[in-house]
Amino acid sequence: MDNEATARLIERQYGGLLALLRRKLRDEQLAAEILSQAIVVTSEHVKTGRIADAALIPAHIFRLAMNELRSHTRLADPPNRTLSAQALDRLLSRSAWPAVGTEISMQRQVRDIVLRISAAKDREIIRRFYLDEVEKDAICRELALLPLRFDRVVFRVRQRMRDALTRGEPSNQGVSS
Amino acid sequence: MDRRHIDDHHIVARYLADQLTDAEREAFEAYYLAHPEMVNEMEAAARIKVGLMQLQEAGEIERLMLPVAPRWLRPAAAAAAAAIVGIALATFLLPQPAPVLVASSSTLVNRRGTPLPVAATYTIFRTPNGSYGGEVELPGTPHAIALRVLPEYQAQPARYRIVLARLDDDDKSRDVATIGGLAPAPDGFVAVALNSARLEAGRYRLSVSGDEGTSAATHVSTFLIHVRPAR
Repeated sequence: MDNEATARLIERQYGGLLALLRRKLRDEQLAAEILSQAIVVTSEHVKTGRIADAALIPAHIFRLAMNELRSHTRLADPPNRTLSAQALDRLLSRSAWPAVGTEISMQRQVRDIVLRISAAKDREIIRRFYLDEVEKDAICRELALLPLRFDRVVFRVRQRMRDALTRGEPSNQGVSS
Repeated sequence: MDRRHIDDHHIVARYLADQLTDAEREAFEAYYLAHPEMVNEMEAAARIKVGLMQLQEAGEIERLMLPVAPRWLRPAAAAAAAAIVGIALATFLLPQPAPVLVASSSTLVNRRGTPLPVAATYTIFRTPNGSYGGEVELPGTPHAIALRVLPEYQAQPARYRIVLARLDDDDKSRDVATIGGLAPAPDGFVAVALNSARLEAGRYRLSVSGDEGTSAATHVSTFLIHVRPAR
């Protein structure tokens, strides 16, 4: 698979994960390295038969990457990087990775989704829950909301983003109303 | 753990925010390893988070949070909008002045849409007795000037507002710009950028407070800056 095809695959399957790693770690290189390592380790597990069902590959990659992210953000002394230099060279070829510009596309997509929410309070729910990472109970208390309303708003936003992904809609297109 | 529980308890978003207990996390990971379709849910939630982070960095998030006019008011609003189309068209053709204060230097662009170069990054400190916490030199050509300040109060949620005010010789202040929705860096500093093309030499005060709706909305940290003219 050439670099361009790899970049497309990574963007489609793991664009959000990679961008989240970049944001949480504030280190583009480290984020790419963590996702690379997750892909390499998963493929080794497929070869050795530890993962028998190919449909499970993305879930294993996601779990490995999230565990590594947690190690880096929770521990003062992060774990050693274990990926071989050769594997890194192959996977970290910059042209094989979605550009940071992909995040701009996500910005456009989320802006469109938020603009379709008419109530300011409902938009605030989305900001506090997904951006500020405030827990549901606190948001409902601070905004004087019924939990049911919180659930409805979050479900709607999640559904719209999921629909966009399911349709295979490129992230550089808006979600039409 | 089952799908109902995952949806009802917003497990996906909380997993990405590292808010689950160890037991919840292990149960959720076991679930999604057996139900790989959950990866799409996680990818969608990750994109929502990153998109919002981008909107915040671009200084758009506050505007997006503004109320939308109620339905009964919309025809009137549309009529009003139509009435000002002419004005809007006229002003659209004129170059719009870039703001003097922005959340990120990357949003300051020249007429061709190219980001302005960053002249320097200044870390501004609080100082006693009215002395300056930072000496900023205006570059000779339009540049972004990056500033970093450390609020004295931690806002929950972590969002801050900065007011830039010009001080005259009698110490009277005139607000020049306000920007909200600012997220601090991991080291606690809040970053903004000045547009040198809109900034005059003189004395300024940066007032940093928690954004509206945060725990530190009424707490203010002030920083004095001296902006020197270009050499």
